[in-house]
Amino acid sequence: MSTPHAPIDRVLVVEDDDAVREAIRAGLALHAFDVTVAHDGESAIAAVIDRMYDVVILDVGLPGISGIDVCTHLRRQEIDVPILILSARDEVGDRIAGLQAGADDYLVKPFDLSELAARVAALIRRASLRPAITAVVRFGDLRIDTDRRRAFVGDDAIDLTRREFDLLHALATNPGVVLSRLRLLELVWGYDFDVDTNVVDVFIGYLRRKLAAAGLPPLIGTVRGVGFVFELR
Amino acid sequence: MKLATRTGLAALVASAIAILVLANVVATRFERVLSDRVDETLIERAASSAAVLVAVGDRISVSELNGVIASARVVTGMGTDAMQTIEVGQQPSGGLPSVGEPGLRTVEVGDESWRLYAVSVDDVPEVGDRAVVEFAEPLGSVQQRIRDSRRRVIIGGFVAAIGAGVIGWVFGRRAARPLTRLRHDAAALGGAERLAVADRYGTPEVDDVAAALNAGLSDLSEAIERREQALAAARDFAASATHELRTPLQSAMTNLDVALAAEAGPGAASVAVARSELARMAVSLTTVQALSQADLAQSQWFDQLDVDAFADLADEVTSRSSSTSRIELVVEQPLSVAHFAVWPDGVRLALDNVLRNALTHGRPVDGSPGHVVVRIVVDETTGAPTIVVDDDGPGIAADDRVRVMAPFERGSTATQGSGLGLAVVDRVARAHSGSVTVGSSPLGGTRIEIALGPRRA
Repeated sequence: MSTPHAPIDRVLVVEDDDAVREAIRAGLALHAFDVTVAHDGESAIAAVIDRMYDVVILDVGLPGISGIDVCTHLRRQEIDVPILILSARDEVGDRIAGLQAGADDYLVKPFDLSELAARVAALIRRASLRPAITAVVRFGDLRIDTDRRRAFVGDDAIDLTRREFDLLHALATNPGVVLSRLRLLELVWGYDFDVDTNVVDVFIGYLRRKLAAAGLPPLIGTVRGVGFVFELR
Repeated sequence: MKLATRTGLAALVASAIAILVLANVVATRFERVLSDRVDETLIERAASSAAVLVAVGDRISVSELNGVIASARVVTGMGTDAMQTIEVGQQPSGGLPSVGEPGLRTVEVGDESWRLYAVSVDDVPEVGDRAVVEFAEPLGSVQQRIRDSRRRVIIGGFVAAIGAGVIGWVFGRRAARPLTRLRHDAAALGGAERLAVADRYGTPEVDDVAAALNAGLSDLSEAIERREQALAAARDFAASATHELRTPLQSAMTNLDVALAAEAGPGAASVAVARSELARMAVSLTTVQALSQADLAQSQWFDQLDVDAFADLADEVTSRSSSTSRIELVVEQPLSVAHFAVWPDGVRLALDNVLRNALTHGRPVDGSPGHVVVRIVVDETTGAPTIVVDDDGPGIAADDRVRVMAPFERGSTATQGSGLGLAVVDRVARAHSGSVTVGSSPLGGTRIEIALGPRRA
């Protein structure tokens, strides 16, 4: 039941509860990940700065520096390692804060080990498959700089998290094509398996709000029952 | 009727009555003075010229007296055959009635009034007994003057009354201004941070009302605060309790996952059973948490959603389903695009539960892929959306329809499930002041209607 991936993939598990941390460590080791653990936010930041990780699994409810703060801190340091947050206490609040702080996906406790392993593997695979093409996509006032991984309206950069950028890029490079939620999960998150998540809708919501705030007309449409489409209407 | 209008009208009516009464008193008094003066004139005239008139009556011609004497009649030989009446001066056109008893009287001649004063002149030897002189004065001009003055007083009075009304209205408005301010303050209480109106409005009566209102509001805000604290404590408790349960559940599940993957020994089957029992527990825990969330839903969780955003939400839930059944989403767009505050996570949860039910229990009995239709209907007057989910399954027996709403109750034919799904849906609807109804669907199965707002009577 192990998911295919390179054997040296390094995962950092940040979790304050000893039993959960050890269980996840044992479980991911079983799926052939190289697992390192940290029990609080400070040691997590230190660990990420010290060594390269392929994925960070971050519990939100850490004592001291919270998981959200760790996320914010790492993104501010321009460390773009994929981050999967685990939310437990205030499910909704944690999820929103975590994703807006730059996390890539979330899982709500309790989850299946196989689900966690599959997502971790997909996030790693997706991260290594970043398009290397240097291109600038233009859509009216919107300019998407693939190389610098930033989007602009005129000269002003739109403040997008990495996953928001990836989603925008996936949509904008397929103008007029209706992309289903499954297709977007595959394109942006690398999830090519059956996954029960509304992460696409959550990120579409964030993206729409940020594009509107930047003064752009509505560019992302919903095709009811099918998916989303990017077009200048 | 507005307070200002009321005071204006009261001032108008009161001053009109006052002025009418006053006008009447003044007119009566004026009439008395004028008629007294007429009487004085007549009496004076009589005193100075009655005797002379009688004395000279025979000797000089009447025409000579005309112009000297205003208006008089000299009667000699009163009551005898030789009675003779000499008219002097101006006479009324119809002629005066016959001379009466000495004294003052008023007679009507045609449509004119005359004041008459008759005196007996008994001691004039030349004419002998029974000589009477009667002086007359037309009252026409006097009455005219009285009428004029009465009219002037009344017209002036009405003008003054209207003025008083306007002034009363203005003052009434002024007096009502503190009340108006209090009304505005009270109307703004709905969105106010602090449940209180101002202390001072500049009028003692209004200040008293404000004080009474504030006393009541203070009790109310205390009660609200206590309720909020209790709700916050309950929410905190629910979150902490589920957190405390989730964490060990997580480690137990993961450990069993590891054990299952690592070992294939004789204990593996038991481990698998334990693992699936924990998974069941996890589902129940999530649902119980959802129940408590729906019961404790707070207004900050609500968001203004238009029909499209709401349909997107439904689309998200329906598209996530990985069932072989066909799910159709229909949005019945009303004439105007309604904005309505809903609790998106709650709606997602409710829809998720209803769909899950429809896909698990709502499949046709012959085992063919089911057909589920999700319709979103928006009430045109209230803007409240209703989600209608129809399936083509076996349906829910009419007797079971109320019972399945209660927590831990399953349909009488159902063997699986926690029995919490519809209870969650019910709580979510109630968090929106709405309700859930279970009925039969035109597709042949169950129809669940989730009204996310009060139903119209």
